[in-house]
Amino acid sequence: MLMRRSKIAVIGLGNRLLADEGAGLHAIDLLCEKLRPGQDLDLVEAGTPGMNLLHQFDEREKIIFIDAGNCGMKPGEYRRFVPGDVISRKKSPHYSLHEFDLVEFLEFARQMGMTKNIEVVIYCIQAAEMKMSQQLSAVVKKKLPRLVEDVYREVKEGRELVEE
Amino acid sequence: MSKTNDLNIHVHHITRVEGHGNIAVNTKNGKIEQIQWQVPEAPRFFEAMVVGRDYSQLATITSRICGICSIGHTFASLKATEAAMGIKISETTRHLRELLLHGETLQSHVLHVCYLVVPDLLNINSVFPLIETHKDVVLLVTKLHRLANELCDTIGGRTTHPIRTRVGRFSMLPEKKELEALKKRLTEAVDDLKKLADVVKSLAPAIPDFTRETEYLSLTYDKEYAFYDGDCTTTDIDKTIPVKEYQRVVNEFVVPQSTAKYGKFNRGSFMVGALARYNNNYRQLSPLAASVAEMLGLDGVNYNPFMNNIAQVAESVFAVERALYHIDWLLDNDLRLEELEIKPRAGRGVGAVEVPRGVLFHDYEYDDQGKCVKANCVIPTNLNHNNIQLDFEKMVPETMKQGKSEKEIQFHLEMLVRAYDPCISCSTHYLDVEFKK
Repeated sequence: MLMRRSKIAVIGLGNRLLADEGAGLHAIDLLCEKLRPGQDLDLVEAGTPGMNLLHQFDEREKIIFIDAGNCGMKPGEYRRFVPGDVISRKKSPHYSLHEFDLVEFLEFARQMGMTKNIEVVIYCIQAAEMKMSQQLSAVVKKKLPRLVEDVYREVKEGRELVEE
Repeated sequence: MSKTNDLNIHVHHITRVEGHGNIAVNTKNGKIEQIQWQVPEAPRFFEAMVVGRDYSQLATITSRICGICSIGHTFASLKATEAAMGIKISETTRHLRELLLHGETLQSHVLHVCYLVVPDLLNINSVFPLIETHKDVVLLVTKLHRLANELCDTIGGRTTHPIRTRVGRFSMLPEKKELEALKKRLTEAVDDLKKLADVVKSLAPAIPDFTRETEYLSLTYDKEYAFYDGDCTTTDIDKTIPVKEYQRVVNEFVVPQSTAKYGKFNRGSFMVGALARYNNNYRQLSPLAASVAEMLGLDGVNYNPFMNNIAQVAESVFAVERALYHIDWLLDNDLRLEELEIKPRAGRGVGAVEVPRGVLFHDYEYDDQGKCVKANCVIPTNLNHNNIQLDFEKMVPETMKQGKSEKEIQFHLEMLVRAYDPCISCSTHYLDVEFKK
């Protein structure tokens, strides 16, 4: 492939224009601030990638997705899980390729054999506000650095990463 | 007559298109009361947003009009600015731009035909059930899609909304080894596209046999099948019209059922997009692209709008062949970053390119400081709305006469809209899950 890839990727999902919907992208911002560029770790600001996300699996050993959502927790709480731990409540009518359900998508990728031998992890933070705003809600903004710390510890395990 | 004389079709947000469009059809005792293609999207005011902005910012801002055709918008914008300020581009910049535009065409066409249209031909509701029946095809499409994305990354600096494309030049050039790697993969992609064409051929009997002769509008260029350069032409005229006179051709107007503008020229409507390009310029297709078109039933001017998707397959082959041509030129020449001193001047410029969904115009007026004072962007999806409406008005009575059920008629109307590959807007995707334990 053309682009050099790290075996581990942290992928932020969401829309920055819809407040907490963009928490995954804000988490990538925090990781970028924390780590010096040019290391063996891909930090991907994927946004709302649709089927483009299928291209992220090649040459990987581990992918951590960070996304906001409705996970039945208090606003700002977050949880780490693997795709098999959850059932999606979204009823996707497939209006367009922008429309996206990560759980359904990961099942699609699994059945395609694309996630074979790849550890897939999801960090989901409970959103407080989904409205037109480029700012996170106060509670998510306060709690997001803790999620980022957990992600950082997980990707750092057994590896040497240089902090800023 | 139809199995039912009373149709009551209300599709609120048709699926598998980009953005929101509605279908409303009502008949009573076989008499048509309403047939409408409705576009309820909110206006986005990009033309107002760029007023007062510096000429160097316009392409970056207007590329955000679309996440699929962002490269086409970038070039229409840059061409308009360059026309207004009398800036000529070098051969290197031209080859890089055309290469990038072909990358976008390949990306968009493969994505549309395979992820959005093939489910129609198989009568399934999305690409997901294809895992069971066509897993190898999905893997092939993913490979082509990734190649097209990485072509755009390599030349434009990222997949969408390119960052190396500037007024009059590129700010960063691809390395020779990157071009060589691209060449290798694009060469392999020719065979992949042939395989894809074979798959589409096997599904082609499901393409509806519907025709309505209309006017087909596109760019045309004497040197090649037009994408980057050219003047306006249509199947109803035997001359070309300069791009700067585009308003004489598009004639935008508003209708009550749509927030999008419609267009028409010599007839009640016209069509833009791959089929329009093909109908105007098919003699300039490369031999391989032309043979793929012919294998799939396109062998000259065609009036079936569903064949737009077949033209997209042929154009995908053409895009790969032309991309290889431009890469060879870039590899054979000594590429150097260009410095360009731009002295802003007052003036007006129009830029046009063929993007996947049809001809796109940007029209800017600048003051003597290079600040935009007026802008107009004419988007191809809008230009097709009127044609979709008139297709509906022919298709509904025809399908009723054929005795199709309401469900079948609705499916045909939805499929027709998707055949145009409309790109109406954008949305969101948050997780909504419950834990098993």
